[in-house]
Amino acid sequence: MDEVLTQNKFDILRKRLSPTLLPISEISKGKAEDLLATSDFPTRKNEAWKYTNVNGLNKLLLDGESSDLTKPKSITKSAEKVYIINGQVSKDQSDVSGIKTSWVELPELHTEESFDALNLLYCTAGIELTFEETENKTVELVFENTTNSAVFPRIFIQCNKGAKGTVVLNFQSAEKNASFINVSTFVDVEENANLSIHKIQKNGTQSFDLQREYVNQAANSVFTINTFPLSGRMTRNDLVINVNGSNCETFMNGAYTLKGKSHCDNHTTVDHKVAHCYSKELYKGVIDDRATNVFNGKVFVRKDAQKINAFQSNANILLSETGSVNSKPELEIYADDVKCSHGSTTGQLDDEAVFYLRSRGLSEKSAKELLVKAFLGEVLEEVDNEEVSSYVEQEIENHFSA
Amino acid sequence: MIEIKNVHANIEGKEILKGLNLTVNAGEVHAIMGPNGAGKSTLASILAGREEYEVTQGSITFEGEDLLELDTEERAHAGLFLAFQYPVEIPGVSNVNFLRTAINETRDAKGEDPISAKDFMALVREKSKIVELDSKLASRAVNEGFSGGEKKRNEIFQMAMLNPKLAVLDETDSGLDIDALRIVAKGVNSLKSSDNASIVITHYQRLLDYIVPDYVHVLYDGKIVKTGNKDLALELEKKGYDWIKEETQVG
Repeated sequence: MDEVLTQNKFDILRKRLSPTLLPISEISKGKAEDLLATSDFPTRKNEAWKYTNVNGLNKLLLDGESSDLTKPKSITKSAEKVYIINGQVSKDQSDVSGIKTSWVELPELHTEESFDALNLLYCTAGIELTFEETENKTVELVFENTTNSAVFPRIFIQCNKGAKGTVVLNFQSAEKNASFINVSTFVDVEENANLSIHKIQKNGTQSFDLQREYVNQAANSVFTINTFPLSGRMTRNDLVINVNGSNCETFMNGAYTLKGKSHCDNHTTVDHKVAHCYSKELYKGVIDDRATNVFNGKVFVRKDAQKINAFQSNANILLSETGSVNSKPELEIYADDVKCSHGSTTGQLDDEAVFYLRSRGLSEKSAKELLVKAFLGEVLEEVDNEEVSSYVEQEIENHFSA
Repeated sequence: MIEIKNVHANIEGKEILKGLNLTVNAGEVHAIMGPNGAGKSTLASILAGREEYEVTQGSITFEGEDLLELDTEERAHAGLFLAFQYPVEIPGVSNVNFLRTAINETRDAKGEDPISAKDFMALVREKSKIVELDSKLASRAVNEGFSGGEKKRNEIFQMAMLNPKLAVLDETDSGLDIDALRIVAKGVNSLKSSDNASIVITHYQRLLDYIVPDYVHVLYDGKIVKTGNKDLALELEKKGYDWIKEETQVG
């Protein structure tokens, strides 16, 4: 029996993590412990993790070894910023007016996800952002990883009635960094509120980054999330959006650039529970070398959710023979008066276009770069934040020059 | 300028060019005519360096260099330009942006400094006038949503921007109405100088009313079987290609 227990991969992992210093209720702690006691790392048999293997987590050293991060890390100029350095909120570097970073007690665990339970028990930073009705502001959370660390932030974003907010979640690591980043983000978008999240995941080539976002949208609200997994050994994003009120708009965009041995997995779920809503999803990426990409987009339209317009599209370009893509759009529609579409394409760059550009004097590399930028440009056009889109555009360029 | 000697070329194992010879000097305009399947587009393709075509025999010397040793972009840097029969639509890539990259990579290959933004824009304005291409079209995504005529005008606009030594026009007249044909021809004519040359590949004579060739060659079954002046084109227009076929078979 003992032997079987020590085989549990969560147990092996937990031995190397330090329990959170933040206050959590006994109830939450008990729930999280129970959840972890009865679960192990997901395997291929688990449908949601069929193509994503996290066993490598237990090979991460998490030894605190440092690797320098030299580039400027924040993306925005005028935004209020909170710096989270190697998982810890850096109070002296942060402008924290209206941002809560210390807790009487972390809110209760309310998911059944083992990595969320892990996030709670080993939480390194709790952050709550509240956008008030009269406000229209931008907050950037800058996560800098300069050592190989466990980075377990728990983020709560509250966009109050009528408020307009923008949050930049900016994960930056040194190139060789080998951190375990495990993030749970809980978002409430209240009536008539408008919230945008821009998430940059520029992690070290050895890093694991597992993130979950749980979003609730109330009536007449607009929610946008733009996700940019730019680098990292493994990136997994689970995005769950519950559209609970009518007349909502939901936008999900993603652009990813994978090379080397990196693996990226975007799982998204939009649950249209009520009528008269609109959702649009566009994820595009390029996959080079031996990199692998997974996309799974679920759209639910519940029985009484009539007049829903839901559109979803995933497009991939393979730049090598050895890269691979598993893309699975899923629509589950229980209402009868809806307009929904989904599409998924995976292909190579158009040879004829490459030849055309080369015949005008562009090198093969510039021609391909130009075509890739144009391909991902469609996603960037959806990003209404100039600082974010130009940052990502630059990163796409760097991706090719590196 | 270019010397094509005894060129044999295959695609997917099928021999299309079977010993083609052609010499073009600076200042000359050569028309290549011929029936479908004669090898006209194959000639354009091997000149531009399409990888699907394999040259199995013969040589092509361009400005003293072995053309077949050069990559497609190196051929462009050396001053070769192909106006495509079917210009490619490239969504999301701006026409002028890519041309600027093309010009700068060509200049870089020659060891020259990049063109300034100001000079480049002046060049765009000047050259787009030659083919009456709206400057809005010039800055749109490459050929995306362009009409057939606009695509061909865009080819000539790009040619004007890149100022090649040798331009190969591959059935530039196909799909053009008479007005577009006139504009395209006017563009080509205005770019003509004693330092450059063009090879105009066409199925029909009518383009040659506007772009007057110094030589007309008939390409048939992978070889040039007849060479003459512009009158040969008129004769072909009147009599069709059958007499050439008969003559060749008899010969």
